[in-house]
Amino acid sequence: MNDIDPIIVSALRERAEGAVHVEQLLAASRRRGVRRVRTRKILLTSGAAAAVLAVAVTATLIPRPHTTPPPPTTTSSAQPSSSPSPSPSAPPLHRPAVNSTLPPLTTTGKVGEGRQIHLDTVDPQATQLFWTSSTDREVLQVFRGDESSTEPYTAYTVQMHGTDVPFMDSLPANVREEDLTINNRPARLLYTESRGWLRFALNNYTDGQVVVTFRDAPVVADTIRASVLEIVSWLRVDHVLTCAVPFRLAWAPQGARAEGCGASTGTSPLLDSVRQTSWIELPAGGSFAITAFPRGTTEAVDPNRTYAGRQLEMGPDLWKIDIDGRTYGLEPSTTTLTDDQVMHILTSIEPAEPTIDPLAR
Amino acid sequence: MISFDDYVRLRGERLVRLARVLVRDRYLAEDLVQEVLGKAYARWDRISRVDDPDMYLRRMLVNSHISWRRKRSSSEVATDIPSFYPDRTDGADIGTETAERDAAWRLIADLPPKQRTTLVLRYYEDLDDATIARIMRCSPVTVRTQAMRALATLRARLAGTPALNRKGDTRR
Repeated sequence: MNDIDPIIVSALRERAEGAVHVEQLLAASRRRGVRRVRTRKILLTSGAAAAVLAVAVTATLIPRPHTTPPPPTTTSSAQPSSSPSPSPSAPPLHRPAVNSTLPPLTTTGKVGEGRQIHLDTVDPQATQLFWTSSTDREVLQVFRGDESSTEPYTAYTVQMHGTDVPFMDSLPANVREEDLTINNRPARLLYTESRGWLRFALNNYTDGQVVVTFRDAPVVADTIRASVLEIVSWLRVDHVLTCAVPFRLAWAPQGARAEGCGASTGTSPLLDSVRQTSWIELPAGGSFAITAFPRGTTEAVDPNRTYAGRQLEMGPDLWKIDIDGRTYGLEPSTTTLTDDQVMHILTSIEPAEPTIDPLAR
Repeated sequence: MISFDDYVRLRGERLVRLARVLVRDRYLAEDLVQEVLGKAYARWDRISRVDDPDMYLRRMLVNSHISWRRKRSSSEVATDIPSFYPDRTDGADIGTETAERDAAWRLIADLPPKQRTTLVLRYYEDLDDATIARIMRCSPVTVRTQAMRALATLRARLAGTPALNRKGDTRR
């Protein structure tokens, strides 16, 4: 035994002592679980929103690139910008390639068009961005700052959709409302003491929403208002980013079709440093997501299944396979897929040139 | 398959005790376990089907601890932890031993999260390096490296900690 082993053991054992009220633990855990299930159901009513949930679960495990210190910010000119490129103070995040063949939202572009990305931000403290794009909805999720950040919020979500598509959020009963003007168009701020929702019209056919949760409740209305206007001032809608995945599927259930895609910023210009996801819709309802994880992340495969001679990891909500040193994951958002089908799909992943439709023949 | 309620009744206490030695603040430890169990509840039908749900929950707890940045203000405290513990009845030098253990705990708590986690899994959970590696999603070599660094740090700090230095002549 090591010389200091007994000290460590006794210190840890004593630290762990004390009563544990299991029934109270069970009740509190169930409450949180029920809330989580309710949120998931709300999110899953939107195809692309499923991506946000997956991203939220795993984002904290993804290495964050270092960012530059934030410049002074103002909230007086809170409107989405149409300047041609991010400001020089934007952090060195490597984004998906610009697709110059499609018009941006500032001209004739439409949300979800061609399953590409029409949203971007020059948030000076952004450390990781996640986009999802589906037929009628796009979502940008922003993580910002580091562990020592003193900012009132460390993450927020921006959603864009057509004016005929409803907002999906379930607002609490105690929400307060305030009318604002953004870019000479009416906007509405809804807020509680810990969350804020800013709903605004980007143009005649696109509505937007910023959702931000604050770390230290209660937060005063002035802070919430300033924060959401600040976030809007960082938005960029003047270019289109490519949303593609670096693989194709040699097999999928009959009638499956690509419904949406997702991408993240990367730690380098290399394509395999980003997270790329494709959402596949099943004809019987439900969907599944296949994600190519960045190389070198914590998503290593720990095999516990073998299928067709290939090693797989079956987890409770994510199945994984290693192909040529890169991890690919399959997340079923439905129970209609059998384990055999999941394994069949996973083993049919073939690395390929980036494509927006991994099922295209 | 074990139900969520049965699992928490059977293993919840152990998870809380593990969290207490992973997290500095005892209330945050409770909060962390509730958060992890809340996540598990939402997908229990799948978790209960994996080969070793207990291993999976411990992995969730450890990974959540390492990546956890939330503050106590957002916590939901459901347990009532006493701030004192009953005295021992075996006549031992309670004051000195308590001071020694407190000092040792402070040194352990000051270690970086991954090093602290490695020591906790090795010394409190009594797991081998291969199992620790699976929980922490790293190689056994990394586990040994983390443990070696943690122990080296603790040894270096022992000399400057009076409560632990009193028995310097009796420790090899």
